[in-house]
Amino acid sequence: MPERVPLPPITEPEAGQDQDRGLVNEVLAGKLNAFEELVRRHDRRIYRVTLAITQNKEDAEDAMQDAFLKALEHLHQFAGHARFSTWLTRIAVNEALQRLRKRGRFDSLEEPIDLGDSLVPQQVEDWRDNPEQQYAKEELRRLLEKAIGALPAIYRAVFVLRDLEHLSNEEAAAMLELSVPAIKSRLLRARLMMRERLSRHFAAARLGGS
Amino acid sequence: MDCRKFLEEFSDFIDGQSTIGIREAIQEHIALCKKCEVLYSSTQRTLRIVGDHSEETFELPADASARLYDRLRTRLKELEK
Repeated sequence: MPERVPLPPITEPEAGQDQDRGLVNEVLAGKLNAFEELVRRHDRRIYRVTLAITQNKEDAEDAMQDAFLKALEHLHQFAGHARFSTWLTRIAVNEALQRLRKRGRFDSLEEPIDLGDSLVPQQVEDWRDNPEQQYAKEELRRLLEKAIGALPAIYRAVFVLRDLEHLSNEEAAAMLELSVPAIKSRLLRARLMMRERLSRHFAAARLGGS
Repeated sequence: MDCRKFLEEFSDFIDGQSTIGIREAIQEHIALCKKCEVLYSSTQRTLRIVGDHSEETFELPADASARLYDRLRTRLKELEK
């Protein structure tokens, strides 16, 4: 009997509890300093999103700063239908995309994608066991940043939101103003490209070889 | 299920969003097709490695952090006036 690959876990929809709601209410009630605590909770994550999308440190920093200041200005418009972190991420994604567009590096989000045979890798190499353990943490971090940075912008934005930030297809679709099927096809390509790139480092012998 | 159909479905499968019928068809396919099994397992490992290291990927530098809080505090002071 062939060995079965274990099934991936079913993802549960996010529970409705928003841990930031209390601080948001404090800020709205006039306790402005509570906003700094909100920023502390999210600063690293928001920078990760803006840098992953823009691939430019200066742009990422500007986008992060503007995103937090805009969130502060518009906090009264935050209706609480989404989690605060999702609302904030959406603002940051917009800021990052604007800067990417300004540099002419993201002209078409709507570029049609052909999910044709070209997607099927010609050769698939099996990986060594726990290959990442052969790398120092710092080395692995650089390798991952390089691989993500090498993705075309339209795939990179989707990959970052879905697989780095673990947002849902629906949330990523809303943030990037794309349909869910468009998100899914970009995500598939991005994942295959990432796999391909990491394979250069992690692959064992070519399939069929010794 | 053939390799092309597998490829169309496998991203949802990785996310645990496939229907039971599709999941079973995928499992049957990868039990027989070594290439797709490797594609599946190595992609899953790619995502695990990315996920395990997401915290330190694209880390916020200390100087950028300092500039953020400078600007934020300036703005908060203006608003408090």
